[in-house]
Amino acid sequence: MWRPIWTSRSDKFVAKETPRKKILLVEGPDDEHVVRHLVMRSERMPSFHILPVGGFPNLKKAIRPAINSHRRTAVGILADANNDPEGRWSALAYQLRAADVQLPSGLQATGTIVQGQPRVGIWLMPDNQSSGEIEQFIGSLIPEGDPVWPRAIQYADGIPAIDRKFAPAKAQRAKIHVWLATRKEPRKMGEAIGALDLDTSARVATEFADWLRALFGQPEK
Amino acid sequence: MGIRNFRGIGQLSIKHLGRVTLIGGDNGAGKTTLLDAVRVHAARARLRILLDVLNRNEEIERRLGENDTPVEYPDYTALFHGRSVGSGRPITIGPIDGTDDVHIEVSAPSEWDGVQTSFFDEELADLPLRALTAVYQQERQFLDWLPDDGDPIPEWWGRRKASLPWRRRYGRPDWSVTTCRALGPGLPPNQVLAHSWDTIALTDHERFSLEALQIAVDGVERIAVVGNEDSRRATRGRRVVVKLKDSPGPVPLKSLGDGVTRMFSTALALANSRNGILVLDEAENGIHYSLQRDFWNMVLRTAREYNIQVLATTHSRDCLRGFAKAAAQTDKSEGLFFRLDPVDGDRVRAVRYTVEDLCVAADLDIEVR
Repeated sequence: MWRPIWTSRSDKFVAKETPRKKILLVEGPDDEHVVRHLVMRSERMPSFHILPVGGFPNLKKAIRPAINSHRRTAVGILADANNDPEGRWSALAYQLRAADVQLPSGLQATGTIVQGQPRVGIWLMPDNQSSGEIEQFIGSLIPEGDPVWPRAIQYADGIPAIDRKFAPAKAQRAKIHVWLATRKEPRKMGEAIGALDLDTSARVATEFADWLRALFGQPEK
Repeated sequence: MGIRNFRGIGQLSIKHLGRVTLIGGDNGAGKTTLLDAVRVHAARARLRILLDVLNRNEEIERRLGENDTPVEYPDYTALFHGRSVGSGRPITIGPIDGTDDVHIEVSAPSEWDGVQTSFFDEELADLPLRALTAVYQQERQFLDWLPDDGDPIPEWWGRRKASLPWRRRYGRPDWSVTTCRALGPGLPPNQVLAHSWDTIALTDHERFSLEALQIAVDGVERIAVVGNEDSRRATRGRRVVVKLKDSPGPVPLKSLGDGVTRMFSTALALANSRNGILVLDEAENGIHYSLQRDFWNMVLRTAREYNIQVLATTHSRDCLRGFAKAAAQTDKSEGLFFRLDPVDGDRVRAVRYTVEDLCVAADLDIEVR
């Protein structure tokens, strides 16, 4: 099976037919997109495959097969905390115990990594402690003092409740997309990283990049 | 099941097997060895099965002995892990709880007790030999003699072996064996197919094998076995023929292709394994990917209905997919997949995948083999 993998060493697709040793499980295509662009804009990034699974229930089911897979050396799990970070953590911990991986007892602020064969890592968007999802993470990357961001917030908040189609929990997502619509060209989150609209040196972004390096970076045995 | 010291497997433990279990893994990881171990246990280490295993691996040397008569020298040390046959290092195969183990060991007659030696007519004490014995439920059964050390077979072996003491017929322990049929990766010879057909012809199971064939080929109406048992010519010997809807006369089964023959021979093997075990090496051979799910459907349903435990090996992703889809439809709890991973030189680890794991992995393109 020929699958292109996108390495950080070049922008070209490199086709490989080997079992995937390092894999990051993500909930959906938006997460995949953001990670790819972040990796491209960061230095010394190891290469790894990204697999969107289509939602949190599928993520839970995919954990054990992904860890048990042939010649796997590292598995990363990127999930949204939504409105219950502790609950999501427990759900993931349960699946990981079923795959013989012992997690430390609580969330770790800079992302969790458990050594072993394979190495396993967990990151709960946005920052391993707060509620939210990838849009909160992106929000932290909006440059300090950006003039449009407060306007975007005001705009979205100013829409009468009766006219809003988005759920209250998704207000941040709406605001982010309002802001993205006003870039040089209306962009998606990942592309905004690529176009340097977003600040990849923001603290949470560097912590995330460090987590990826620690998880996927070291040489395999 | 647990296996110790058998061929390439130093140690392997699997806590639970499904009713139908698929085994995968790298070439050389031990898949076929696992199937051999199951056969050996089912037969309680009967010599015929051990010789079959050695023969398949070309570990039986054939030479001309005295008077140019052909003599066979099975290399029994090849059955042992690392070819090391010290006493205290027997082959052990059995359920994981150790309640029904079959052991195979090499021992010197001087180590035997009186009961053992009483089965032989002659004096054993001074023979420079070791014996291959099977041990089951605390009883031993002598299998065959071996030269005393690991050297190549001595010149005199052919001459002397014929005169060695042999166990008397009666006094063989009455070990109840489990029915175990095995299908190798290739196609069975015509005689085997014909013989399998004989046992089910005109019974209810005949209809079942016809249905299995109809999965693979449209328009099959009837099956028969024709031919002359004594003939050595393939076209005259006993062979399976089928009646197709649009053909005027019978058509040889094998002319319909390897996949069809494989489907049929598996169905026959299932019909002959009731209340026992069926072992399939490279289950997918010749069967098109689009038929894999139907194939496994047949195997799963039949295994449940006839109370058969099936173990099969595979390399093929299509086979695994078909298996997962079929098992998801019938009963998820009856199917399991294990990938064998050799860990250091001795141990083999069996990584378990449930049917649900397989379905998720298939959807997401995660490699399990």
